Amino acid sequence: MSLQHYLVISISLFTLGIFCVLTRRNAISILMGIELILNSCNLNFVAFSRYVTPPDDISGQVIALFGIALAAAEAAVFLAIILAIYREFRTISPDETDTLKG
Amino acid sequence: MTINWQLLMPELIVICTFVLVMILDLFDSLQKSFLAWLAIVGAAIALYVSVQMLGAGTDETQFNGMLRVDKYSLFFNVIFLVSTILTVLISMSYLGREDRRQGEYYLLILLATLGMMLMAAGNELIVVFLGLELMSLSLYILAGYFRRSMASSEAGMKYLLLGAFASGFFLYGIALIYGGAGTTNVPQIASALTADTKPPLLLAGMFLLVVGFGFKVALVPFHQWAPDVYEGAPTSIAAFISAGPKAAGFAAFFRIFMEALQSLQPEWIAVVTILAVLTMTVGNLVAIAQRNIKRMLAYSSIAHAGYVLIGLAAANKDGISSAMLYLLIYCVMNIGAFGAVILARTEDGESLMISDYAGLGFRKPLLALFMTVMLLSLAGFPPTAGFVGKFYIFRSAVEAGQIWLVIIGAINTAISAFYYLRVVVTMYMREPEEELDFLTYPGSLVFALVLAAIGVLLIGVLPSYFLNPAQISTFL
Amino acid sequence: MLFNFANVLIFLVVGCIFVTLNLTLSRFLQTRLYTDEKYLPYECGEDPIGDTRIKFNARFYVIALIFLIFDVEIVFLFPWGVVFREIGLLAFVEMLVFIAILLIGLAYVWVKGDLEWIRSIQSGGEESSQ
Repeated sequence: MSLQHYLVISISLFTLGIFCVLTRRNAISILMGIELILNSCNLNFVAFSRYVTPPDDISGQVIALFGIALAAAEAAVFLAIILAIYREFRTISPDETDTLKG
Repeated sequence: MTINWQLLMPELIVICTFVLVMILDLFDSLQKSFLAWLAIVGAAIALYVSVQMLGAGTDETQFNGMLRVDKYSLFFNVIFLVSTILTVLISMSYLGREDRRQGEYYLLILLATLGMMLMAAGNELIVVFLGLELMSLSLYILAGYFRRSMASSEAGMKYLLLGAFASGFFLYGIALIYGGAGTTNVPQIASALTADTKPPLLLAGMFLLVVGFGFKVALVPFHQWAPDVYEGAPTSIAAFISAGPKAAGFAAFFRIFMEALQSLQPEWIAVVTILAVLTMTVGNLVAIAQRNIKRMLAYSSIAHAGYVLIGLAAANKDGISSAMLYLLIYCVMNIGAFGAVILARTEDGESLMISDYAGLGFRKPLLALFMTVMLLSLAGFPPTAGFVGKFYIFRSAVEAGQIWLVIIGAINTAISAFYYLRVVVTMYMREPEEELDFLTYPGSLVFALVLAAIGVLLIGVLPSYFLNPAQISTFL
Repeated sequence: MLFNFANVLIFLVVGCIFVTLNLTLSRFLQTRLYTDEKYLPYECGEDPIGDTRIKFNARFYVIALIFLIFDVEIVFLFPWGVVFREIGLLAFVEMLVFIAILLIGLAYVWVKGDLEWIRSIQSGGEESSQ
């Protein structure tokens, strides 16, 4: 295994995440796409921390921990807002919630 | 490791206020407006401490170089705290006495303020990112605060979807910069980079950061969320989103690009210049077509981000300091304008169509006066602050040799005068179509508007008192 | 300069091609056999009864959200535990402050009634404290 392997996986996850965000019609699926993007970033941090920086510098791994906590916080806020949306609109598709236009 | 707590006083005061408001919010017997006043007092003390420290002129790093408390971050603290105080003041009457959930509203505003302060002080990309997320997550919830209103919930969801997407780009950009430079510390990135070594990873990371910041401060072509969110969110929150967070985004933008990525200047100046031209032009042209005043102010705020970007495109000390002054002015006048929109509420709710303002000049002279001052300042007429801000920004760009950027900016200012003045003309020259029952003026809101109006006129008449602090506060 | 950009470009292009190639490849390679049997969820060989997509009470959702937040905060305890001896008292006090703030958060959720199970039915799934 070398750095390149990790980077290729990471960029694939990133592209899949973007693909998912742009094509899905369900807010939960979009959230999954965003989580994929954030996890690809975490993978990048850990890989760079292992291969690029000196061995005693683990800042990349610590950053990945912050990334994980942050993804959870984002998911919680997202799900709470979706719950509120569902109560008002009875759907969670961003396409069908369209009171704002101009 | 020793920590100099004194340097962290503004942040600590905001945190303590946050915890105090949170605990007191648990007691149902307490008047909720007391929490609002507590938040204002906390922010005001933090503002006082920041101004004192700005006068003393500190420049030290804390937590192993993670936070840099210097005049630059303190100047931005002043901007954030002023917008927080004004926002809480205009919110109090808007939320209403019977709203029992409003404790969490003030909590989230304080939390967003803390995030902004961390962004401005962040000397490490990851601190900037955490500050950004702390701010953004609070704002997503605030945008969807009126859960019973479809528009507000939808604004919250749209803001969150696009904001989280942009955060992903931002974090990926940080990851690539970490890989290219081997560190996320701003000065260390700068020293790892020299003019002749430009790792491709860093270039890619730089572009992803531009996309991330572009979303957060609403630059064209990443601006689509702004009009919808401003229209759907509570008006007081629209005012807040357009002021503090935008300034925070620019604070981190300037610090990272002018210091860490300094050796990539030729590359990013080109990108920033194109974005500035697009943002000003599209923002102003689309604003002309708007019939809803909140959407008009949204597009105007996009255009103003374009003017601020001219300061970064100039890429010199004057450019940054005039952009900082412009952000201060912009926060005050924009919150003032949104406050005037709140003041124009009627019995039937908010009057948001520009045509609703017909004849306001005779029936509500005080309100029309506030609105006129704010709009003239946004348009950049002397002797208001907006003129001063634009003047210094354009002058710094001329010094940097970006003459044609200034010409485009000046043309845009002329275009923008058209739609701002249209509202003024509607207020003073048109007869109202129907009689509307206006609510009485709430004291806290009028107080906020008087403060904003005094600020706008004071900076307009005595600009050097505000420009000098900005000039000595740049990190360059 | 240009060469550097080309590196990034190749990297991006390879990433994009990898994803699209695999997605299209699987589309062509897969066999499409849509029978009713295939769409049935597998339940230990028995024929399933009713719809799999039943609606859960929204309370599960709220409780799960609250659990998620507090659960993930634990992740910060691990690195703290590793360096605790070297940093000493300061680390201890800082973690106490961190946990105290989390506790205030828990108290907030509790007092606001978001941990209650019964009241949600009375107020029709509305979790605000009204």
